[in-house]
Amino acid sequence: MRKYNFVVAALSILMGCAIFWFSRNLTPFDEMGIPGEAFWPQAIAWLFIFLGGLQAIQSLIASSSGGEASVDLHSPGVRVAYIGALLAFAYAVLMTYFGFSVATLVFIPLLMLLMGERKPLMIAVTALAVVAVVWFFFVQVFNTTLPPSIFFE
Amino acid sequence: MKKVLGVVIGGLLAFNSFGATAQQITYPNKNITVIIPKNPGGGTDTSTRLTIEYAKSYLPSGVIFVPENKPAGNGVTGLIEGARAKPDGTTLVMTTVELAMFPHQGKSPVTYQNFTPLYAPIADPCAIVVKADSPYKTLADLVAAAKEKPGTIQVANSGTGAIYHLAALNMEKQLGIKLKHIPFSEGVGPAIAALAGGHVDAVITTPGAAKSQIDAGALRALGVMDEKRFALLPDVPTFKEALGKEVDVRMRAWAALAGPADLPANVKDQLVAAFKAVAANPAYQDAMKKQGIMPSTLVGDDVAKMLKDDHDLYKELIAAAK
Amino acid sequence: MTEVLEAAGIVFSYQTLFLITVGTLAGIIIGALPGLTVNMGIALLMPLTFTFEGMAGVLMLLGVYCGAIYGGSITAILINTPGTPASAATCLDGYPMALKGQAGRALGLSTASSMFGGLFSTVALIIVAPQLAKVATGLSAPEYFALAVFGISIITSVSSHSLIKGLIGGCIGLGIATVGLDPMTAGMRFTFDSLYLMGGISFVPVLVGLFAFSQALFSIEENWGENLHGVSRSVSVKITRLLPTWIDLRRVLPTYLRSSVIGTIIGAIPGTGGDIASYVSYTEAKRWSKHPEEFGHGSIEGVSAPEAGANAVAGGAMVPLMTLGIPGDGATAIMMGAFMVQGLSLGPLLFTEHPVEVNTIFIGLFVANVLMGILGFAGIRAFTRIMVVPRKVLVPIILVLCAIGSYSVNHTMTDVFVMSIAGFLGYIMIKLGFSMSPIVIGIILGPMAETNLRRALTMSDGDFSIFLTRPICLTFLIIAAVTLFLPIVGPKFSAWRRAKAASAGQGAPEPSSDSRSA
Repeated sequence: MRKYNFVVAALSILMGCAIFWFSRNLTPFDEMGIPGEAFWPQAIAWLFIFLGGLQAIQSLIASSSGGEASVDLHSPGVRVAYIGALLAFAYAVLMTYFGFSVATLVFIPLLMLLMGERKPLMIAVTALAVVAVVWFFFVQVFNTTLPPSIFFE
Repeated sequence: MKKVLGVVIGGLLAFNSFGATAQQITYPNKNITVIIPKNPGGGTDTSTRLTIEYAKSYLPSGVIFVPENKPAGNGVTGLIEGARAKPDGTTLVMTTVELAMFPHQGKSPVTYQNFTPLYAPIADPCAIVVKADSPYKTLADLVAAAKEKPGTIQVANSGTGAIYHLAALNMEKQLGIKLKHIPFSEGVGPAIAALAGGHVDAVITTPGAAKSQIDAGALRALGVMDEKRFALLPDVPTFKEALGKEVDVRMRAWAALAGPADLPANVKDQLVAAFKAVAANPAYQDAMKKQGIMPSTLVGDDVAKMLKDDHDLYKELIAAAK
Repeated sequence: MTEVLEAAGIVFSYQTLFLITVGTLAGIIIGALPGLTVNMGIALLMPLTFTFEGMAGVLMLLGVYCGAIYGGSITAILINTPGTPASAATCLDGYPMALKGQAGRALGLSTASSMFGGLFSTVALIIVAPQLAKVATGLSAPEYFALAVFGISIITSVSSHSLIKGLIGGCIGLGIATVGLDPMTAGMRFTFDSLYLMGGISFVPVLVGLFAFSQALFSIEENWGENLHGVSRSVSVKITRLLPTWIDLRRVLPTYLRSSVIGTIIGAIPGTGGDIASYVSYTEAKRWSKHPEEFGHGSIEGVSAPEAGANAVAGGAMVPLMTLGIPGDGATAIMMGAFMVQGLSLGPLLFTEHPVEVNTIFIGLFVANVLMGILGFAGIRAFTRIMVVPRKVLVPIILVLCAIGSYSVNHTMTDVFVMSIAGFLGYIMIKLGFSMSPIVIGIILGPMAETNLRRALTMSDGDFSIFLTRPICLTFLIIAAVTLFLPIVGPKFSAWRRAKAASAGQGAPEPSSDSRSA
């Protein structure tokens, strides 16, 4: 945990600095002395920096006393979760190009395979049922649209 | 023959509608998407849905209007999508008065020139509203007070650079006064709440948003920014009537259904004829009035003219405000 | 009186009762599905009401509204995935209870508290609507600012692991909310020339990502572990009884009452809704509880408070809508359109011009809440079956719903990407000891705090003293300071008192955690 707490502290301070950098052209106070566009973001930026510092100090103290929880970001299980996230992201990309139905019919089987489902019937039924139910309610009942395919014009 | 048959069948299907046969829309072979660049439930959304509800009887069978709310990016993404759609009449968009303002503020790459205006269901004037127990009984009182103590009268609007703020700026310019602008970017509702609580001196809004409270005697409209009185508030004078002849403050908040530019002439004519019939339908007019909106009958080129006029008006106002 | 009878006649007709039941049931389902929120449910069903004559359509929407707020708690308790923003706080204690095998008890309590909150606020709407509206319009920019600051100060009470990380999370939320057009000057802020960012980062996709998407990733991870070791999750889902026991009810009744009052008032204030009410109710329940140490580990008060608070918002939000024509929250803003289409001019005249319709709304809201309770209790056994659906099936469905829900808010694919990115970052952050609640509170309340701070100063010409001279504003700021620092100082203070007592060697009875409730 200790290593990551320092990373968190550094990122927090970095975030504060980034806000300062990106708000450099905004006005903190207008001519009447009323807070302007930069006032609130920069107040948040100071908080980020202050809290980042506090986190760093706390980690220093805590590490001397020992006994910290460990953080698991690399175990095989977590890696599988990363693949799951990647699949979901690919799902969104696929949906942008091929629309809802095609993307979902690809995504659900892949994710189910990733999660250890091996029965083809189960996979097929789940994928088809989800697409059918969502399509029925959104398109037929509520008269709203699902992500369309950009090729289908 | 086929067309005639279609008209007859369409007319039979639309037996409950008002004079359907002559305004039948025949071109579409798929659903017509109507982009609403606003959140569901708001004035623009409700009136768009009402309009297409009454227009749907003119469509061939098997084809429907599909409303789609696209409020992202303050509605600009919806406007852009409407402008860039294939000009075949199957994608329409409900443009709003922001289309005349955003281009001058660097917020929108599309202008009125990217659209073919068809029908404007709303073209309501702005009005200035105060609390019933306000010391300003008439518009002249308010102007006199603003001249006496410049920059102290607090006028709420729905966000800096939005229509009601520009209306206040237009007042300042034309009347030679200075007001204190309090933006409520959350919308006009909270601004009216602040007025009802006595936290601001006046609100600029369309009359519809404050009508129920005006009718109840809780708020008072001082003047409408138009050349003629607003039909739903016939007792409220126009700015010209209240302040004299040389004053010409005219501001209107509109919503105009439009297709992309270069819409084929027959598509445009069919749509314009259909919406003209909708606008003339008394049941539709009633439904709009219930929302505090005076349904307009502007169609086709009249709408195009309004869009162009307002585009030029806001160009000037926004340049002056900088 | 004739109006009441006439209204009752309208509500208790077969057609209307049927529509309210359909609405409530649809609401519960939409609310329970992760990714689909209360507002979306109402927005989806609103066009249907155009076709109904009279009040039936409006009453159906009221059913959706009540049902959806309640429905969110079901998935929050059972699979740690809040169905709506308002039930994010319900996860905090609901899921721990479900893990202890008390899913039925938790659902029973949350159903009872939802019903109690809804009915309480309906009664409040009927009896004190004009007075409540006066309170709400009496608040000006300084009070709104103080209220927002108070809401933000709750962050320290809902940060489960590390206070500092909770506060950093709050800053992340506040920071996300600053993207877009400046609320006062309408200037571009952190928009990087993107039209999407100009409108700000959408709240619902971020929320769905942080809570539902990240939880799905955790499920994938746990599922992998189970596959590896060949064991499957075995949580007892046996339901011994549906209704909460009398002992439980007696203990949570004060929480019900307190949360309902909080929810009704927050609902009545325009611009604040169920998401805030549930967190405030949770924090206040913890503050006044005799067992604050149980919170976060399956406290029955912890699971009751947010639900009573969130559902009480429904009646509260109707107050400004009906008396002033100004919606109290996002859901009523959408419903306003349906009211107008039926020719109800919302505002002061509604009560004199449309007495029958007003009474119809009152009775309809009452009936919707009762039906919500009945359907809820009747469904508890069925709901708990979610926990036995294999994860291999459940997780893909949740992820699809997350994508669809995010897309349907603005009809843009960008929101789907925002959702997945927020969800992935949320997953990493939870691993690092962050809580998601502070981020959400920051996003919701940041704009309210900033806008009203600057609006108040514009009104006072830059004079900061207006925050100190207005009694309500000052009170809220003081409560906010206490709420913010108590979780930081409180434990240290009691430790110090304990140490002092011990060193005095008098063997004084250990000061319990009462010092927290000061």
